[in-house]
Amino acid sequence: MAWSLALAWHGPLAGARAALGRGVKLDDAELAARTLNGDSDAYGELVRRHQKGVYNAAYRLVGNKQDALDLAQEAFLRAYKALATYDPARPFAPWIHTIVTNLALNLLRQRRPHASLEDDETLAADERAQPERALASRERQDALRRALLKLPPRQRAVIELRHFQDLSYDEIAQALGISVSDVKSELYRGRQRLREWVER
Amino acid sequence: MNHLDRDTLNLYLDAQLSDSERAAVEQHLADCNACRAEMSAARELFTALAQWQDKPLPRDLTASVMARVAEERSGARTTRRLALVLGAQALVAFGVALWLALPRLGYLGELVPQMELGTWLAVGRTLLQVGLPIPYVPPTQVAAVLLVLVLLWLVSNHLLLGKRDARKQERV
Repeated sequence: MAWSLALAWHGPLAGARAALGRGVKLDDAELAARTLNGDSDAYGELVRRHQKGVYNAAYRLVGNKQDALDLAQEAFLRAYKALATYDPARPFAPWIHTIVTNLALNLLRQRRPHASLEDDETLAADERAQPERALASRERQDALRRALLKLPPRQRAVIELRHFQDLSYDEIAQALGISVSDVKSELYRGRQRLREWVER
Repeated sequence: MNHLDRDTLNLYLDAQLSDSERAAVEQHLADCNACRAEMSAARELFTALAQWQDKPLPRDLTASVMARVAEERSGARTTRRLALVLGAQALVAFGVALWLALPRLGYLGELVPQMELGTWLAVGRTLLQVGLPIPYVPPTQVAAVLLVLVLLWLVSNHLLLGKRDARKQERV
């Protein structure tokens, strides 16, 4: 590949920032490997790439901006400390999302769940373009957001990992330390409740 | 006609069924209006979740995460240095203790410098079994050794932890 030749030319001392500055697109596994070799710019790039997704996962789970930001930061720090256990053959996103989901679960277990998500301050692009259709879609999504936050923490976490991170039943069971049959029943109950609340 | 249970519907939607099970479900859906309606309602939720729109990030987290990562790295370096210094201190203490004790161990003291590793281990095992001879060391020498060790401790801790505190102050 072109980028690997470019890296070879610039030698092992060339950092992730230099590589990215030359327009070289490093994949997540390469960035993780460079981080483990002491290149902190590489980890900065991983954070930049995944921060929005990690923040949104946390936001869906806790329903509060500040908590979501704190959880996202904590997740990246935990991931940095545990980076040696990350399997580079697998994608980075589900791994970091599993970490943030577990952190959010711990937080939810310590606290009473929030009643609702904060109001959105920003409109998505398609809402500005097609206000009426977007309004219906936005209302439906708001109903879903509210319903999601009414779920017990574990059902919320299972829905998050299955629907938003696309993890298999086995992976969810492993990530949350529960059995596959628990995953199935929590998914089933969670979806039932979501349907009931959204249709109400 | 037996309807599909909701568990099976969920497994079907999650693509967790085998090919034959999947084919059986699809065959049933083709023949059963009630199950088709139920499947369609379940799919709506899947679609709504798939169309979820992410929120914009309120602020870039990179700088704050990297500051904490830097703190973590410096903490790990300090711990490694501390372990190194503590190890060195223990070696110095052992050396000083040996130096003080050898002349007072009688025949054992003369043997020690000539002993090979196997003999060392045998002596260690015997001493563990019968107990160490406790040589008399004058209190002034004990006090001097303790003083040196305390000084070593203070100096190395100042070198290691002083820098970290200074960095914390800079951040504040």
